[in-house]
Amino acid sequence: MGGTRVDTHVVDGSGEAATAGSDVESAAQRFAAALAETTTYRSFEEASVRFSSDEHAREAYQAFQARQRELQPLIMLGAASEEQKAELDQMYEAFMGEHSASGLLHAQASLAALCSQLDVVLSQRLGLPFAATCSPGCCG
Amino acid sequence: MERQSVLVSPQLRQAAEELAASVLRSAPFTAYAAAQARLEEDEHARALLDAVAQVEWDVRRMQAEGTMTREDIDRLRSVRTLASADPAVVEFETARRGAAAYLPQVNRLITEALGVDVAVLGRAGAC
Repeated sequence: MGGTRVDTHVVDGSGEAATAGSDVESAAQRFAAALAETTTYRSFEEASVRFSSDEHAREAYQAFQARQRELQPLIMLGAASEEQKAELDQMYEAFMGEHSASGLLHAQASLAALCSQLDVVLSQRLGLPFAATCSPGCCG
Repeated sequence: MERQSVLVSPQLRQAAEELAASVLRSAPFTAYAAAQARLEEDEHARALLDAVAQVEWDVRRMQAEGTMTREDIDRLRSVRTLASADPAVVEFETARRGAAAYLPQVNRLITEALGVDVAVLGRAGAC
């Protein structure tokens, strides 16, 4: 568990705020521990390890990413040719064809779905949108 | 990522509820709750905010219909200026921003303990 303290002096720098900060810190750590114990999170961790140790899958991913970066400006401008788009699709399929890669993406999607539901719980209780406030850009 | 449906276990839900409860007890959130309560009691301030919401809604509708005029924008600016000069509204907005600024710090604690950013994943999972 990390040791970062919440800066409770955003609004109020009183001594009471420091107590509230450690309360939040403990609750955040318990929340993280509870999430880490779920099957969904454990599956994601296992899939991450499998992918990290699969050199072939990592190479396929790096190749896809590099080509995507090259073509991104053209795609955004609508100027990418059909051949270039097909090439990128093929590279993505090659990457996804690797068992460890598809496993990781599937596990990540499950974890994202769980986090989305937790965001609903937190946001409803807090009266402010938790994930949207912490991560303003869409889809991270 | 494909969208999936997963269940939140009772233990995890309880941990999330306890985290929310502790955040609600924090200084930024108690200040926010107090400002919200004062705003609720202030009829003038609430009327100003209602007016802003109404004009914003009107302007969005007119914008979508392509009928918005310079006068509509001036009307919006005018009600916003009035609201932003009201002490109860200013206090509420300041407190709301303070509470919102606190949440990324809470998320950072979770991220450091867990190793993944729950907020980023939560947004991705909602898309």
